[in-house]
Amino acid sequence: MPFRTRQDARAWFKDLHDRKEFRIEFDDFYFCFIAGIARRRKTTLPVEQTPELIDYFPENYNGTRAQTMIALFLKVELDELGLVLNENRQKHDVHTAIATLVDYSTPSRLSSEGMLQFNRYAHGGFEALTEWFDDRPRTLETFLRGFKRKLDAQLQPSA
Amino acid sequence: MPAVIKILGWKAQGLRCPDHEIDCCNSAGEPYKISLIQMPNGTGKTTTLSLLRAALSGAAQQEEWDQDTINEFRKKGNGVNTSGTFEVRLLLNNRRATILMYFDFENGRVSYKTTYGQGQQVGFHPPGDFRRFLNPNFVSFFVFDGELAQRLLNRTQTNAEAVVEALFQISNFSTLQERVCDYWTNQTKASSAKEERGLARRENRVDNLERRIAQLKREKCALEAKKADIAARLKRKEELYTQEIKKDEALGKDLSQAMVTVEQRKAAVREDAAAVLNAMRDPYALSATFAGAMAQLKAGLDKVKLPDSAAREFFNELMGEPECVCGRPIDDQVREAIRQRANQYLASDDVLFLNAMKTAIAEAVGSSTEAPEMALNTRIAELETAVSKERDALNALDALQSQAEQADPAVKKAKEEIETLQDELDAVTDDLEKYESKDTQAYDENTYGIEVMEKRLKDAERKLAEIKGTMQLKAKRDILVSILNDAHRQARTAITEELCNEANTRIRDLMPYNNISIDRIDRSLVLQGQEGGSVGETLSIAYAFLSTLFNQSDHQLPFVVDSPAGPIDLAVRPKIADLIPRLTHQFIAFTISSERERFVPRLITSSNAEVQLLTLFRKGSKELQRAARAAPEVSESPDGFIVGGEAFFNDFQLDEEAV
Repeated sequence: MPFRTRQDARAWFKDLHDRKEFRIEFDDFYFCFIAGIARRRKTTLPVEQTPELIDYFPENYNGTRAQTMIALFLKVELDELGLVLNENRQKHDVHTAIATLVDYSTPSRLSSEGMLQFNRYAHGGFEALTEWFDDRPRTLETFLRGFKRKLDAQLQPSA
Repeated sequence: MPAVIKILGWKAQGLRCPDHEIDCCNSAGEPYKISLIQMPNGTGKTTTLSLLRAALSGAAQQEEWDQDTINEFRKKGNGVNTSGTFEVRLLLNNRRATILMYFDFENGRVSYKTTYGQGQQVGFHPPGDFRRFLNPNFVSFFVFDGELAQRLLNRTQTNAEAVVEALFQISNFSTLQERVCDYWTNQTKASSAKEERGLARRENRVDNLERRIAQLKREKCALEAKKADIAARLKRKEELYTQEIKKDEALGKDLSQAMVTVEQRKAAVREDAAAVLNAMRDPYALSATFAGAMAQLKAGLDKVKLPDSAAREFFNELMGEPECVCGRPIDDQVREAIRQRANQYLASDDVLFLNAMKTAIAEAVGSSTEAPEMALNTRIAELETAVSKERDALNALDALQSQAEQADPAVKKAKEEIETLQDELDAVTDDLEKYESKDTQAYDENTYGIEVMEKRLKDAERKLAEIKGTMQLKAKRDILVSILNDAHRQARTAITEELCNEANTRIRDLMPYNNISIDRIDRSLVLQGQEGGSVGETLSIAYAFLSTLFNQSDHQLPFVVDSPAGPIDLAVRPKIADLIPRLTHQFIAFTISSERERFVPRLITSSNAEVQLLTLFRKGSKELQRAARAAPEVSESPDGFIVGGEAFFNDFQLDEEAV
């Protein structure tokens, strides 16, 4: 099962695609995903609005990066399920939850269910991005700095 | 079934050539393998050959000969001759056929009669199996002269590919395709739309979408052209602007330097931005919160001892055992419980993955959850500095440009024009964006995204086909047609390549020093590195090609040639003579006396069957007429003689008609 990006997300990042460093579509997906994870926000969209990307983590994102992305995803999912990892009595539930989301046999190491939830964070994250930024990004340097500021603000513990 | 065509003979009356009847058969009624008919120039070799070609192909009917063309066949001289006939007798797969051409010179008409089997039909009607050979294009390949040999190299005047297709029956692939398409058409015609109104609505939708897409593409094209034009004008204006500024030498120098600085600062920004992007691809570097969350996950998994050292496979194997590891017997109930609970454990590969993930976390944030973010923040700070420096450089450049504009109105004007053009360019660029839009919410008339509309069209076409219940059949048709196309192409390529190679071997044998070869066969023969050759070379190439063509095929066709060796070098003539008996089962040639040298004797010895030698000439020379009447085999018509036999053939010394 592949990663899926939103059609409107592609259009939103359009100006950054002129930069050769930001040419891969997975970069669009990644920033949306991170925003979605930070906001703990998932959105479900019909498949016709979410074209397929690849079904594996590409070169710039494989190895440690892929594993830590999945780790972040699992942590957030377990939190959402209310599963606490320091209690042995929840071991069985944690075990089941992880087994549902992970599958070594797939190129991405995510199960179908895992990929579904992963994509939902990306779709929801795009909505977060459009709330963070007044307008779509025109330059990479502006976007990256702005993204970090907004992310920091989002992740700061509330007063 | 292979086709066998044999010419039994022909008869000409009232036409330009002397009235004559040629019988190509021996005393047993079998056609001679080789028949040479010696005719001086002007006797009507070309006319006879043209008549044979027309009779075998139905050309007069198919090409609708006009009065002038028809009159070319009229007997010269007395002018009272108002009609003529030409009849050719054939064996088509051992069944007799006759084709008669009737020339009405007064009214400028030619008509045909075809006799095959029991009946006679008005018109040119060869049997179905022979139509692919008995047509103007194909006939020119086995009834030909030097001029036609030249045509083999001219793609507008011949179609060698079509001949190859007919001879090797590759054209059957096209026939099959047509049958498949006809079947589909009949099926879809026969099936009625389930709802008439639904069908009309869907047809209209398809039409409307096609029109809208065409309109959007036109608009987009026009805008792109406009954008290109504005961009070009902008570039010219910018160059002009720079030139104007540089008129002030000192200012120009400062400006150049400022531009260089701006470019350098932009490059630095790009480099730093790339470095920041790369660092941000580590999710643990984006925020210490993320790094902490990963560390918590790892610690938690360690605490609850996940993944288990036991994996799903262990429990799956245990199910197959009679006893548990604890020694308890495993019955069906226990087995079922194990099976259900085994799915709750990770497979061994999943265990591996989780362990790898925990290792990755340890490596990334094990020593510090803050350090990665701090490193990223340092890079961002560097980027900020680079951006600031870039801004300063741009400001300095702006200041210099403003100074130049204030000093020189021409510069200011150029700048204003640049700004206007830039605004226009931005507006057109924005306008163009709508054609890339992925918005699918609006109605067709308010949707501008071309890709979206094309998708709707595809969908509408599918629905249209669906309502007619033809979609599946269409898919099958498309697959079948594609397979047939591929097979056709592959067969044609393989056969023409082989023909080419074989023909080139023969050409090398005939002309070892001429360095001439066939590169490929498509509509015509395409020579390697040259457009054509001498008459002799072309004729040799034609022989080589045609002998290869007919040898490779199962079909047997006669070969009728005007002047088979005339333009060919004396040295090459024996090789042509050796080639001819292998060329075909029936070879008929019109020759003149000068072709005898080094050709006819060799032809007679190369052929392992009797060669028919005839001499046909017009009445005129008293001496010749006396000699003819004295010959043992002679036939006389009102205006000509035909004399058989080798002696008269070899002694005949007249290349041109006697006046």
